[in-house]
Parts: sequence; C-alpha cells; structure tokens
Amino acid sequence: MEITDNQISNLKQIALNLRRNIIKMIQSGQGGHLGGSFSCIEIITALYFSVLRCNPQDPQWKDRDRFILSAGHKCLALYSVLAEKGYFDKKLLNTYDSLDSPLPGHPDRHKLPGVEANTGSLGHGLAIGGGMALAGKIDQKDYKVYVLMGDGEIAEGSVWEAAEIANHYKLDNLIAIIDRNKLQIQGNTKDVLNTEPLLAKWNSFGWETFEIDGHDFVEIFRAIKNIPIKRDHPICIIANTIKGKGLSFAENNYKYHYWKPTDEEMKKAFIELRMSDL
Amino acid sequence: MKELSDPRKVFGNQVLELAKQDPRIIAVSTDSSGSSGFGPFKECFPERHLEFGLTEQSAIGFCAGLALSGKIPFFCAINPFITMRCYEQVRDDLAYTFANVKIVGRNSGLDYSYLGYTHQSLEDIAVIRSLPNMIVVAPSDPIEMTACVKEVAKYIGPVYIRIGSEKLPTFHNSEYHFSLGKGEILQRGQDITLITMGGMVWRTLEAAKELVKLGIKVGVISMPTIKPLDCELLLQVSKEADIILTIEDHSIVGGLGSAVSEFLSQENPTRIFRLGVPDVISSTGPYEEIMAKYNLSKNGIVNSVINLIKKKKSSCENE
Repeated sequence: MEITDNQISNLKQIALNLRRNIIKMIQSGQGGHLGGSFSCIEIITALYFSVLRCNPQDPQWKDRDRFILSAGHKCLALYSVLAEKGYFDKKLLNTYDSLDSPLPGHPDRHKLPGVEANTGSLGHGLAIGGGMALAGKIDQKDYKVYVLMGDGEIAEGSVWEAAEIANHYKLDNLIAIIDRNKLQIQGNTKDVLNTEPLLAKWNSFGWETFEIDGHDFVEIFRAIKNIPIKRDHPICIIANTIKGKGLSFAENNYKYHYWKPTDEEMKKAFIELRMSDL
Repeated sequence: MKELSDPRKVFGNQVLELAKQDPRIIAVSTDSSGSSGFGPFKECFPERHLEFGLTEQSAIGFCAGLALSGKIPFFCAINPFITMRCYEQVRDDLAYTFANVKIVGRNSGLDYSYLGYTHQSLEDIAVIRSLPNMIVVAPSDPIEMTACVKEVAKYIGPVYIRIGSEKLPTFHNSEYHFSLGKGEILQRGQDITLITMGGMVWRTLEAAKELVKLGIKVGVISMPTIKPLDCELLLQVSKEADIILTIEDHSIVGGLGSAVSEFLSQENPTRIFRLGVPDVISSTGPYEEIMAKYNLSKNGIVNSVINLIKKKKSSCENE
C-alpha cells in the first residue's frame, strides 16, 4: 500500500501544527526538550494520523494499538499529537510545566488521557511495551505496540534484555522505532558512547530490522504499513532523523536537546514556522 | 507447631489455587521457577507461566505492561535480584505507574547464609517501603501466607511480599483472619513488647515462652504488613508496654524497627530498641550460627530481652 499525495500534504500540515504547538508550550513553560521532540514529529504524525488504531473518546479501549514513548523527554511531541488528535482540549497545552500540570516534563498516564506509560528514565519503555504485546498474544488480540526510543537511549542494558525477551516470545506485534538523530545531551552519540552498528545489532537479536528516512512520509508509511514483515519476529525500524528538524538554528545542534529560548530565538521560531499569522 | 512447611511451596501452591479461579493471574520467574514455588503452577498452566531468564530489570517492565493490559503477574525471585537489581523499574514501572504486579522476594534475610552478601537480603524492606504506593508484607506461617496471598491478589495495586526459604511451623489456627495493614497481638505483657514479622515470629514466640518462665511479662506483636503500618495497634502497644523491642532478619537500618520508630517517635515517644542485623557486611556460614551471632536465635532474643530488662531496672534504681 502506498500513500497518496493528498495524504502526504495532509500529514505535512499536521506535522507543522505539532511543531507550532510545541513552540507555544516551550514559550509558556519557558523551556523544554526541543531537539528530540522535533526529530520524531513525522514519525509520531504518521503513527497517530495514518497507522494507530485508536479512539480518543475511549483511550482505554482494549483493542487499541499502543504507543509507548520510551524516550519520555520527547513528551512535547506526544502532548502535541494527543491534543491534535482530540484526546483533550488543546487549551491544556498552555499548562505545560506549571505546578501539578497534567503535562509535566515527562508523561504521566494518571494525569493525561492517551498516555500509556510513565516514562522518563531511559530504557524502560521497550519492556513495558513488550509486556503489553505479550498480553495481546496471550489473549489472542490483534493490536500492535509501538515503542519509540532514542539512539542515545539504547545504550541502556535494559533495552537489550527486553529485546531478548521479545525475540524469545516471538512478539511480531511489537515494533521498536529508533529515532536516530545521532545526537544526545553531551554531543554526538558515536562520541559519547558508540551504539552502532544498530542494524546489525538488532538483526542479531532476532529482530526484523530496516532503516528509513524518519522525515519522509512515503518511507515511514511504507515501513509501518507492511508490518509484520516476517512472522514471529519483532520489528525494529531505524529512523534516520535530524535533531531539531524544522528550526534552522536548532537542526543538528546538540545544544538544543533542551531549549531555554531567548526572546530573539523565540521570534525566529515564530517566523520560521509561520506562526505570527496564527 | 510440629509440622514444618517450605514457605515458597505454600506461596506457589496458593498462587496456583487462585489462578484456577482467576484467568488473569500469571506466574513470572527469572530462571528459578522451581525454587520460587512455581513447579506445580508450571505443570498445571504452562502457558500462563512466563520465564524471562536472567533479565530482572526488564522482567519488571514486562510485568508492568502485562498488568496494564489486564493481567495480574506474581513475579517471584531471589530477594536482592527482585528488589534491588531492578529497583528503578520497581519504582517507576510499578509504584509510580501503580501497576497491579505482585513481586515476591524469596530466601529473604539471611536464608542464603552460605552464599554471602550478594544473595542475602538485608535492605529490601528499607528500599521498597520508601516507595509511595507500595504495600509491603511478610507473612509468618503457612496459614498467614495462604490468607495473605489471597488478599494480595484481591488488592488492586503493586505489592511486595517478603518470604523465606527456612521451613516454618504453623501457629495460627484455621480460623485466622488476615487483613492488609493489620497487626496481630499474639501475647500480652507489660514489661516489654516484642514486635516482629515473617519468619522471625515463631522464633520470638519460642523466646517469649522462656522469658515468661523467668517471670518477665512479655508481649508479642506480629506485623505481617510493614507498609502501611498498623498505627492504631502501635499506639495501643506503646501505651501498655514500658519498652518495645523490634526483631527482624533485616538490617537495623530502615526495616521494621525503623518504621516503628518513625511512627512512635512522633505520636507517642516510647523506648524502642531494634534487634536485627547490624549495619555491617553480613557473615557467611551455617544459618543457625549466623542467626545466633546477630542474636536472632531463640537464645539471642532471650538474652537481648534480659539485658534490656536489667538495664531498665538499674536505670530505675539510679533515679
């Protein structure tokens, strides 16, 4: 199945809206994890607007597909997409990072509908998602579980434990997506701790693995819509992305992992994302 | 009190009984199903026993995901590996998430006497009870174990059950009623009250018999739930007894004694002494010899109480 031009332009508009929501949240919260939230926007947009079987009116629907944001610091992207999808009133986005807000610096499933797991500490999400996928197998349900991780995150040993278990239990309903923007807090992932070669590693752990351009809707759509590629094997999609994608001054710059914007930067962001006319 | 039972078997058999009624219950182990009491469960429900190999951290995460999808996992493993190796997963994926997972630390305290510090669990209560949302229980005999596992399965939320491997005598009768959060008065006495838990309860009762023979009026309280503490009972006890001695096969830092002290120091300051493993790297060797070394044998408890009573008398005489 291929994506149509019409669908692509639709998704592009949604992705732009998600980035705009994030800028506004960072403005009201006076800071936030910009880089990773922007690098995964196309992936998250494609998931929520063309792949996930979900119902914002019934967030706990038993047959829903699950999306786990293992890299919990990218919560701005999650909050933005959940609001856009209609899980809660968009006005709530203005409360980001305020006292006891339902939108804290890392997602909390007790506070916001649509959040599946309390992530923040890295390396937890694949196991939680794996447990959900395993429960689906036990109950003979056909839902899928998508887990988004960062390429810095996969240095955590717990990720590889979960990868082993998923392979052992043949969880072909579990899809790991690695937002490989090649940067982490301290700089280049390959310099901080080289986690390459990703493709060979995941393959050797029994995962059906392939690489895509994580900003190209055609590639994202093709990869995710063809799941399961191979019966009985969990799937790993390595999505090559650009940290801070969409803001010229933040792109590929690890200093924008967490962004405390100056007034001037905020003005620039408004101009680049054509927000002054909103 | 003569027949002895392996607490792990009693635990595993009760989980199996509950699983027969409730299809949501699953058993989880990390390369030790047999010694976690899950042998019969595995035989009866092979598809509901999940083996995760040596992956305690991710096993907790998988349990959380299973629970969030409607299952009730009972995950049993060697105590330090299920409470401390994966502590952050317990904290975030169970306590913070409020996942309906029951973790069961076995061979607790000094049970792995020969295997040394890595396998002994002396800080588990301290670390787990500091987590919001966690319930901490340590049943004392087979009857309490069975009743406790039933209640834990009914309760919706994360629970930590601390069990031993040393065989236990039965001292409760079949009428015994267990409630989460409730302690039990086993014996009354105003000279000193002994507060204890788990496999230390029967030892304390044996010691109390000797002490009564010596004319000491000794009370015995069992606290199968360490969190939340039975505060009402503690207040009552603190008003009746001159001295409290807590007894536990756990470090004196952060365990039952600390929990009792934290509460009473604010609500009704009482003279509390704590008998447990001192703040040292624990010994290795024969179980009873180590227990005796730390005054946790019957004689050790008797002597500790006598010394406290003597101390009390001499301080009264000096006043």
